[in-house]
Amino acid sequence: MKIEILFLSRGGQGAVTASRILASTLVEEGLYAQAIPEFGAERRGAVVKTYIRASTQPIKTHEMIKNPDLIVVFSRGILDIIDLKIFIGDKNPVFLINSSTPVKTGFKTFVVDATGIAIKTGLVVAGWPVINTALLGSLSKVTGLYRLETLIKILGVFFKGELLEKNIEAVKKAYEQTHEATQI
Amino acid sequence: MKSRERIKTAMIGNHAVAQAVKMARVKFIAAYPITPQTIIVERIAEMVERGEMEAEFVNVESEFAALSTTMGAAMAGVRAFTATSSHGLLYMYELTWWTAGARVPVVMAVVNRAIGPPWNIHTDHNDILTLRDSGWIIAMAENVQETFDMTIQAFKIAEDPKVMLPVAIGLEGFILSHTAEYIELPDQWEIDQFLPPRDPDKPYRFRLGEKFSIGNLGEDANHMMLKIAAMKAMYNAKKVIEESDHLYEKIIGRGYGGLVERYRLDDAKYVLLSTGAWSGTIKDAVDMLRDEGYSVGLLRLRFIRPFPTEEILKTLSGSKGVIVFDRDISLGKSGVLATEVLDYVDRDISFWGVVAGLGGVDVSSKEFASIVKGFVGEVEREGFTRRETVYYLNNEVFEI
Amino acid sequence: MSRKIIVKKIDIDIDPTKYLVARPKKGAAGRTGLWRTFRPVVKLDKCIDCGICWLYCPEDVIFWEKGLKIKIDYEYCKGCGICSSVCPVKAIEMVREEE
Ligand code: SF4
Ligand code: SF4
Repeated sequence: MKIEILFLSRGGQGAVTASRILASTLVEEGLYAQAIPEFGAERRGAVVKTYIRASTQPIKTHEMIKNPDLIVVFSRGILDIIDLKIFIGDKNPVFLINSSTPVKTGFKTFVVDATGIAIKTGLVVAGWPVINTALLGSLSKVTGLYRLETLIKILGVFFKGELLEKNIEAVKKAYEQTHEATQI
Repeated sequence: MKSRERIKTAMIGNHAVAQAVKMARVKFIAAYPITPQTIIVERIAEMVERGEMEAEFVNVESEFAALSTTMGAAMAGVRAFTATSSHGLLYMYELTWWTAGARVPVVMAVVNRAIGPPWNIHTDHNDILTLRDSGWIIAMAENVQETFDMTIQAFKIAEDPKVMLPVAIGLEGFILSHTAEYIELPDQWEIDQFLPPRDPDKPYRFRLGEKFSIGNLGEDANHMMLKIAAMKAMYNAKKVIEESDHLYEKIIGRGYGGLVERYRLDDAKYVLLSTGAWSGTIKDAVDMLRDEGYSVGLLRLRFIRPFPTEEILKTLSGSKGVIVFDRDISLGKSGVLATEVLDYVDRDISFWGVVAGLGGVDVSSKEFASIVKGFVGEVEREGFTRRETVYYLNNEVFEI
Repeated sequence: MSRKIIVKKIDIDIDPTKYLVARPKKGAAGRTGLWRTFRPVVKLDKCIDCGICWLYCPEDVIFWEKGLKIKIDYEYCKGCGICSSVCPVKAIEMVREEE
């Protein structure tokens, strides 16, 4: 089994941190994992791609992911900037989108209002809702690759105290609220 | 025998280096931050600050100062480490020759990054290859696990009395330095068993009250003899590298094969040759090609200095074709590895030296596979081919 | 991707300026307006026409003419919020973009 995931986010949205938490969670579940960030224009707001691989076999390659099995979109607005066609190859990707309303992608799509969850949970840093961990809660539901408890355990390595509590709350809410909203 | 309680986790390459430096019980670190190496410096500084590492961390004003200070500390007998990248390495360049010339066994991580202009923070191998003729032992890691293992082994190799040369470990910017990957960490007692404390008196030691200088003006023949002695040390290093790898495997349970790693080479008619992180990608290409019936395998150079001459000779003799992938270029000649490997490719063996991936340009396993198919296709059509330098960019292989 | 590879001879333009020279131009970093999560909205009645935001905006997208107060080019304003922070009378509010 080998799964390739692409995170599309904006600089400052914490996708790189999320990818590392995810990789650690996957390893904790007994899988091999790899999270490659695509750095370049490290400017707040620019579109950032992060690649995650999960596999039952050791992962040898270090190439970028061109045709992912799953695309996680950190904010809906990114879909206006990026032409999704470039990621579609032999595989039809599944989408997970941070959005309060359904989004038409032409593929199987899940949505979650991670921004709303972050604001309600009080996960806002310097005016930015912190949505990265919530999306990992959703991803657990969408992929079934790892359990929520494992994710929560790993969150404890990355965060402490009140911040950890809030992150756990956000992750749980996101897991519950993630739902399929496919529009072809 | 104590039980093994291995930590299995996902870790980025820069943290793996810092972790290895801690577990090697390094006593002195001086480094100057530069993207994409910065995290190594930050992590080590943090660990020293929190008292998790019993070491001295010195903030310096430049890379030149970083290596001078590290070299000085090592001359005083302690295990010392520094790290840099690209332009930082060039800025300390004069000292790199001094460190090797004076036979100071320091270890340095070089987080590979393209050299400008134009400014570029992504990987290629030209930075570490500027050390090629200096007397540094040069190693290149394929993944995060090996980055860790190699850093530990580097101290063992550098400090061996038969060697006494500095070691540079290349780990590629972003695709290793910032990539989180599966890693298994040995226990401290295992590392201690593999790597005892450094003998502070070897090869010589500066201490208070004793008067001598190193590398003073002398006879010209003396200069030449020092170089020849360093060459001998390089030859010795080949054996030491292999032995260290075996010992590491015995104690820690993971071995790589010494100077080179052989991947599906048995009976391979076509030999691919590479170094660094994209070797993993090339292995995937080898798997694809094997599935399609191509007789190919990969010889991965773990070390570029000392050069694995014997291993290369052995692998290439009897092969039908050799294709070298260089993520670097020696302007005016060819890819650096191609230059070096060509010496051992008989005139009747087909050869392509492929320069690709400069400045971080990504090459996928599928692309590697199609380049190899292009090569094999040409050999089969023409019966023979020899192209010292071709370039691969935007799905095309071309000459200029 | 898996197309057949045949070695070509390519005539390379050796003029290096193409790869080296960059000149300032509008939107050199792309349509940075798309990066925004928050949009700076000016309350012109509060604005005292001091020009501080104009001075600080890192993208040079605030137009200020003494007497006419300021105007922001949302095509390229990246939403960094610096203008809002430096405004002495808090006349610029950062409002979340619709997502
Ligand atoms: S938000 Fe930033 S870019 Fe936009 S106008 Fe204000 S200072 Fe300029
Ligand atoms: S800083 Fe505030 S008051 Fe001054 S011009 Fe800008 S918006 Fe107006």
